[in-house]
Amino acid sequence: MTGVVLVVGSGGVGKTTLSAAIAADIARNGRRVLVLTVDPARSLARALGIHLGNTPSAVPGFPRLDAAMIDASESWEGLVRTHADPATAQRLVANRFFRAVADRFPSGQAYAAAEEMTRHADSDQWDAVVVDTPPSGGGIDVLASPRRIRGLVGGRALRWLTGPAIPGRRALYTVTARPALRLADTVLGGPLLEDVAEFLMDLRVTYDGISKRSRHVESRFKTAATVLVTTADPGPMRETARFFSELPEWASRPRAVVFNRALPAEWWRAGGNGGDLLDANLERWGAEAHRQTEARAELAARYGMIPLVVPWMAEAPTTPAGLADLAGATERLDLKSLGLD
Amino acid sequence: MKRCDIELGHVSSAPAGTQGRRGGGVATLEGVLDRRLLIVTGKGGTGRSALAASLAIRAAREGRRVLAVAMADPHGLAGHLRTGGLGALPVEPHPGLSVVAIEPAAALDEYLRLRLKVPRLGVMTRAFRVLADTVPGIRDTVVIGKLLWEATRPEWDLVVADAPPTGQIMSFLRAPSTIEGLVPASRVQDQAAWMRRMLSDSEVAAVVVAATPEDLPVTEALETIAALTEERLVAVAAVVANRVLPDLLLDRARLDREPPGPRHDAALLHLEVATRQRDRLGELGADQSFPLLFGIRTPGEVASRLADYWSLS
Repeated sequence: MTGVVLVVGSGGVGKTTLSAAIAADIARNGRRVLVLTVDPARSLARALGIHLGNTPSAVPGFPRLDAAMIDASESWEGLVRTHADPATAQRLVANRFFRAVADRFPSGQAYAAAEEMTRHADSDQWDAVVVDTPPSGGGIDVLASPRRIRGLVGGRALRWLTGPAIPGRRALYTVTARPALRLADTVLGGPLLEDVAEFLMDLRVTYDGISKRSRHVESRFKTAATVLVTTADPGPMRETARFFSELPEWASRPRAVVFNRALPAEWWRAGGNGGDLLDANLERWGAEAHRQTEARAELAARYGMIPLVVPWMAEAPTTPAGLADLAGATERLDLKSLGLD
Repeated sequence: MKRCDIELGHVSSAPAGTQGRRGGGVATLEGVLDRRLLIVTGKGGTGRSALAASLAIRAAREGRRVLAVAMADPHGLAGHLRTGGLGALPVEPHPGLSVVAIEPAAALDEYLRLRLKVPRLGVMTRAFRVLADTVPGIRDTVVIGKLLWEATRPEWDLVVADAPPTGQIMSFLRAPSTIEGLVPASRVQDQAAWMRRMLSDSEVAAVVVAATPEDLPVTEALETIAALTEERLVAVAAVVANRVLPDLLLDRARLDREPPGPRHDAALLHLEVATRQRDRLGELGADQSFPLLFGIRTPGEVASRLADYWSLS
């Protein structure tokens, strides 16, 4: 069975680079692997082959490693076409709210990532799928998205509008909803809410299909290995605490915590007494190294996990081999250590 | 009222800022602060909340009555301004500086009650929640509206918003015009049109775009600035670079003579990172740079220290 590695963490901590690095290392160790990435930096896109698209493609010159980028809007159309009859699907896709919902529903991109991950993991073409998570919510959004999408297509608001679903029949407005909608439309100046209600009722048709599918997606999360990436900065440290408290609801406890942009602990107070430029420089970097040591100790004490360390580099690797070296140099980021082998 | 230990004392010698100005606006600190609303955005991880908090602190030091607003996740601003938990009711951690978080549900109710003057709120609220969950732009409009209404209140000289990251900010800023185009003539449309006009008035509102001198943050900052300018949604008050390394006045030849060890390694890392940063800074063209604060631990300290550096000229 294809193992799934979910890379989560606050924005800007290096999730995308690390996802690519973990995947490249797995490929170099003889397994077929796909990395699903979100908005990679130019240099990384170059390292993975420029033609990143929704469809997985081989990374040039690096056997067994494939890469694909997650595209939210395409996935939504696929989702609707899969779970609604052709006529309803057509009406939905043509609806003026559809594009906007697909592009902007907060969990849209997150669910697209979850959906892509599941589709590729189920295809059994790879031994592992490594998933980089979108910046907003740093990964929790992805994990929570199946539930949220069920909320959108079958939530309380919609039930209030349409009453209980009757299979094979489009729902009607409920007696409570109709007067409220009319009243609301007098404020809105036209039948906007009624249009929305029509749209939601079409979407309701997809509920059973999406509900079943999204539960399958959730089961994939439960067996995935999560890798949590952080730095010593307050934001990422706060997010890390949030992950530890919220992850168990959605997925497994993190199998690894990666501390990125790490400085050597021995820089703290390593300077001589010369007081020259190099000493002054070492002193300030040493102060930063010390802050990091404290942050790592805090993580270890609080969660009983020794963070894996990725050194601070002036530039992320620009080749797949360089990426593989990055993960390879960091122990316990291989499939076996992550519990997937 | 909460006790507060934010240092608001005047700074005797603020570090010199970098030069540069943006189309139309004069990027002096006075010029930047002489607006009703400043929206601080940037890619995730660039220190948006810290910079927004520092700007609010600095404006308060300059004698402005300031409201700092967390538009989305309130934790960043709460930490940097040491307010404890933030909610829909403002707290005043220091005289002249108040802090509040926008709670979408509360803001929606306020919008319905005060702006649309909707009768029978109970029944209508449910209908509008359905609408807000579905029609994109409604919730975003309500949040932007809340910011603008606060900005028009006489209690504040300046509202500083800790905004969502660059990836999401455009949908907020576009929301009023989206709604204006989506609904027929009505109170909702009038409100949306008012918001659009307020946002696009450079004497009322402007955006501060933050980036760290790295590949993606700079790209996103430039894309955001280009989109804002092209669509004439909001003026750009200033572009700021965060976590910039100071120059290390050391030539490579001197470094090569240094024996291996931490002194050598720290200097090498500094030079290499600084070189990369210089390239990115060249692309960004920032009005103002903020230093990487080595070894500073708490968000409160970070914001207080960064406040010293606001000195656009």
